[in-house]
Amino acid sequence: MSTHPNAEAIAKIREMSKDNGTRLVTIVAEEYVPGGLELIYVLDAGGELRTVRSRSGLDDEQESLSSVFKGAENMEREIIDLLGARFEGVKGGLFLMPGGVVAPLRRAAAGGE
Amino acid sequence: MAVTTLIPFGPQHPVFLEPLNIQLKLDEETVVGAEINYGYNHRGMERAMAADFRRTIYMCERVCGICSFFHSSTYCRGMEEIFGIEAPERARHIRIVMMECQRLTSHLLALGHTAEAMGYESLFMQCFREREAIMALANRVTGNRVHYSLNTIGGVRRDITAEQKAEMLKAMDALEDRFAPLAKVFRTDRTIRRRTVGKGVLSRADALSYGAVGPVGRASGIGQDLRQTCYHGLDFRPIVRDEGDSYARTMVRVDETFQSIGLIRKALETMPDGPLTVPAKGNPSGESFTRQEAPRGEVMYYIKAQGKVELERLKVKTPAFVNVAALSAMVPGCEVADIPVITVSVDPCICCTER
Repeated sequence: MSTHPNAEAIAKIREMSKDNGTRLVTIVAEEYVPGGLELIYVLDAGGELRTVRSRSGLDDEQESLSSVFKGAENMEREIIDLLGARFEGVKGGLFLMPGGVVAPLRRAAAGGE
Repeated sequence: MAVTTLIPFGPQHPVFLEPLNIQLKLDEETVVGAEINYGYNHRGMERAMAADFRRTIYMCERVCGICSFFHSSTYCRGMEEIFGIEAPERARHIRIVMMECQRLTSHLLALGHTAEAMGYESLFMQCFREREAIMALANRVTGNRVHYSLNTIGGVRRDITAEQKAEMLKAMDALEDRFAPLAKVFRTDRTIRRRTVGKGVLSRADALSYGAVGPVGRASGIGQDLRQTCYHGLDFRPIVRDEGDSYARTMVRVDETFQSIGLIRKALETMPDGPLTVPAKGNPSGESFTRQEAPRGEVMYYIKAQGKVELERLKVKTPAFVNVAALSAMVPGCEVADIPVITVSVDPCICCTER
């Protein structure tokens, strides 16, 4: 059984994905309090917008949604780039290059070289 | 022993209007895998746009140079929801008219680009000639060709006068007449069909898994178009095909061009009299998820405001972000010579993808 802080959210989305036609719209990530990460999974189920939320520490490793929706991988890679979050088995480097700015959407941006 | 070759497709390539790299894995001439690399155009706009909600309209129109009005319309609707106001009916009609004008310019660009990628220079130029007429029309109505600067939180800043309405209706008649023969070429030309039918197939299951939207999703059997809910009263039905190939994606855009002409007519004819804006005062608090059907598919804005001019978070979801990723599922099994047309059939926008 997964021990990731977002495991409950992922399980709920996995259940929702069984309904043919449900798709992932996007994942909103925010440092909602200093050091706290909020992930909002936004889904479309038959034209209705549904959200599933998960809150945890910014540095906690999260479970990836890419086993449910292939499109989730790039969304998670972007979150790694912009907030420095961690997803199991997913690397960052989607938009930001090594040696450049690091986690620019953190409240206290980690900076770069 | 089979030899696998790696070929970089882009970031600089004649069919790409913006930089994108696709690392193609080839077995002789057949593509067996593809890895898409981004990061040449990232501007960090989400952070910049959250700095002052009153100035965000200016920036969100610049997320994309093709569907700029959709970005500002979606943002304004999101802020209106947080303010607890609704744009007047006349302003909503003006937004629909100008969004559909911009869809025409976007689809004509995508179709022209597809023609050019297949070596049809004349067809490309004819698509752009029609596009130019719509851009000139938008310029006369709004004062701008690309970034209309028409939206404001609570409505629109300029009206469409009776003379402009008549001019727009006349322009739609002319476009419908002139686009019909071009549509016939896209639909029936033997070479175009051979370059697109059965090429770059995206199955419905893959389209759902990648979250493909807009003409890419609808060409793969996903019958969703947000105009069904946003354009209430205009009797809208989405154009959906099942083939999932480059031809289907092109044909969805061809048919949607005629559909947009019809929507502009209906919106102009049913536009009521009344005010253009309602006031939006103060610094609001709240959260909104707002969606709009842009030419390439669903645009979504997440806005979180906490009673200050700075927004707590602004997230922009663009259609190209998911549609470009779906190329990974389209290209395996294709000949390397088909890659440019398949790529263009997705209508990739890297400005939107990377923001």
